[in-house]
Amino acid sequence: MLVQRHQDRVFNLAYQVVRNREDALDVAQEAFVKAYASLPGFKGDASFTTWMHRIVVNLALDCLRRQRRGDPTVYDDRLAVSDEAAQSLAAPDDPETALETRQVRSLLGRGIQALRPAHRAVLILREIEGSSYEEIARAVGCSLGTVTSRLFYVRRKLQKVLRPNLDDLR
Amino acid sequence: MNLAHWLHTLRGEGRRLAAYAADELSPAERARVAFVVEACPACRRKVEAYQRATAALRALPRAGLTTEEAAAFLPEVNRRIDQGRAMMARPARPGLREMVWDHPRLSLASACTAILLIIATSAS
Repeated sequence: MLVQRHQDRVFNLAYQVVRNREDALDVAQEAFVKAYASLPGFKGDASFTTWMHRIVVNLALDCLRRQRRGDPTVYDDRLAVSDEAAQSLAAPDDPETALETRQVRSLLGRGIQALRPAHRAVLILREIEGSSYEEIARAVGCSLGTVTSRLFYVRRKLQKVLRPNLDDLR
Repeated sequence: MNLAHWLHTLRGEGRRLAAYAADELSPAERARVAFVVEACPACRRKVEAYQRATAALRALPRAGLTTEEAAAFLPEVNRRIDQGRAMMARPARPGLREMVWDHPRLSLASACTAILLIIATSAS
């Protein structure tokens, strides 16, 4: 029951960090196995979601580290997957707006892809999962100051990535 | 010194504008930065750029499981948990003491070899 309630959210978080469906599925399933094994140690000082986020983020970062050690080209290969995913996402009916939306999403996908995984995790937790700074600090295992710095860094970076495109749309 | 100038002289001006765009400032600081943004066209452009980037990011659709993946998800988690349990339940590899008791001849031969090696090493 708990798994079914959280599986989509956990998969989405894993996917946003690893940017590959197969790996994300593996990370998400492994996260529940790990959560099951660690459940006796769950003290309840953080919410279940925050606790789960921490497990998912750590597993996702481990997954990326393993792959980058084994095959440095994997990271670049995924750019295509990410871009394709961005292109295929549902867009508005109006063809012009749909094209613009796809362009922005594609750029955003590339921008997110280019971020360091630890920075990407912070961004995803904040902007897509809507976690608070404290929850992110717990999930990623860093200080509040680091969360603030990383968020500023990635926001500035993405804003720069999108700037030419967004200026055209004004 | 006006407020815009005050903001530009502050360390972390960009951070404040980014946090303002994401609506993450305290009410007092938000009011101060809002005043600056009104008065400073360059600041306003920066805030608008941050806001558009944030809005685009928040509008990104979530990656979801397909029906097949969703249906197979829990069984796979259960399979992995069972596999982990089975590994835990497997008898541990015998320790040195058990090895000695189970294979006395082999142990005696190993001890003799070790003694011979020590004698040979010290003699040379």
